[in-house]
Amino acid sequence: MLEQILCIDDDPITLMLCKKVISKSSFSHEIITAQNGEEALHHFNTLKYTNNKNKVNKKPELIFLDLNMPVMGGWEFLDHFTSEAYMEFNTAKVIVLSSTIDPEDLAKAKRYPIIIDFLSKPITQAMLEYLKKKIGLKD
Amino acid sequence: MIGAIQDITKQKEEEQRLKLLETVITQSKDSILITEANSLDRKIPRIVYVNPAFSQMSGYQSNEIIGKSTNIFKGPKSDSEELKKLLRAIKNEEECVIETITYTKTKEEYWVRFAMIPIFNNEGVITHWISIQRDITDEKKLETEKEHLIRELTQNNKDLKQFSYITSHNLRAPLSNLIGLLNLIEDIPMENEELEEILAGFTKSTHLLNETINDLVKVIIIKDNPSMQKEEVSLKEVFENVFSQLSFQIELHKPIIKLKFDRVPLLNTNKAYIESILLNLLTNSIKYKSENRKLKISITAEQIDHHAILTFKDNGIGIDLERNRDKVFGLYQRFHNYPDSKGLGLYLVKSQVETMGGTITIDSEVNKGTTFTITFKN
Repeated sequence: MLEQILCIDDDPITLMLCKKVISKSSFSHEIITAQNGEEALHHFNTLKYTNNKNKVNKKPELIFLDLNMPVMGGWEFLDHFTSEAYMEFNTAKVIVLSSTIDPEDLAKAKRYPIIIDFLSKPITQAMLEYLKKKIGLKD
Repeated sequence: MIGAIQDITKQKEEEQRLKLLETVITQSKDSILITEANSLDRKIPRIVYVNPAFSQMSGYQSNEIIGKSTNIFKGPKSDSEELKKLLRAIKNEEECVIETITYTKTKEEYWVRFAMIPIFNNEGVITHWISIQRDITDEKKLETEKEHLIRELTQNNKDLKQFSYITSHNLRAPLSNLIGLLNLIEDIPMENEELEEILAGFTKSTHLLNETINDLVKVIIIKDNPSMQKEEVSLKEVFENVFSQLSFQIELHKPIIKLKFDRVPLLNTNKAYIESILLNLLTNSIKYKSENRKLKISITAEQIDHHAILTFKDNGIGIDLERNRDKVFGLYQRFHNYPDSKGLGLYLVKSQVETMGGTITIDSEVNKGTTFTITFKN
């Protein structure tokens, strides 16, 4: 099981679903959420500045990322997140979880090595089983 | 009396011939100018002749312009690059054609196609230039309009495509939530029977909506993909894949399937499309089989010149083509009141065939069967 994962999506129902399905599948101990790219970056900034010798914050090992979000969408988030400023966090793997059908998006995802998969909503238990195998996770 | 008789027939004939040639110039609708050989001050060489068509086009009478070395063709909107090209050609004694805006005597602008042809004497020394000019204002106007229209259409098309992606995304987003939520309900034990029934209906409708949207998405993607990748595909392999996807139905109905495609073992096509086409046709044959006889399907492939022809024939219930010929391949057209028929299959098939540059025709008789003939370049 993963320690912590982050779900970034502007749709509260999607986030609720993510939390429920992920906890049912024992995929991760902790699930944190952000409503758009900017909020997620803000979370990482907070982690960075509260980390110190005595206390190192937990950081997400996996990110479920939506593409189409207000304020800051998925692509813009990734451009920031993969830059040097977030070096200590961007070892996390990203899974795009979206309803898009635009072939442009699929093509774009291939250009980001950090994206390990591009999956269609909704999140399901079968999907998580598949991901567990893919990242070599043991129950 | 001394008389000198000279046969002037030849001379007369020659005169006639020259007269005729002159008519060509005077009657021509194209403007014709003749100029001296050498240009002064990097201008067009001095004009020695203009025909009536030139006077009409430019507004300059011949007496106003002959003997002048002039830059009358140059004006504020003239293409100076084109004019430079012309002067360069004159300097090099080469033939040249330019297109530029030019001006009449009354300063009205018009587009002209302007050819300059050097004339050499027997010693190879340039003696004159001939210039043939045509007013191409209307032609240019049409061309600009066409370009404008193409730009507008391309933009519209792009916008619509984007619109369909966004609409589809916005429909799919809440729908996937519904499906996710319904998945969660499945795991909760249900005590109220009525609630269970309602939720079953809810689930069914949601999945139907999902299927419809997925089908539409398929259509959008096919239509958006006019030039997809083609490869050498083995028909045998394609059929193996299709049959394995339909193994349940084939096992259930045990149709007699005859395959004959040893003449076209390889087809240069898109693998996913050809599989989808055959899958759709085969599913239709099974779905619309006759209850009175054993289902027989025969599929043959032939190569004629540069075309591969796939024939797909069954002995099913058929379609009344007298009534439905125009609708057979239409979107959401259904010809039998079957519960799981959506009117999408043949529309998809036709779209896919056409995207690959092929054609499809149907021949069908009620209660006898249906034959589809698909032709591809191969």
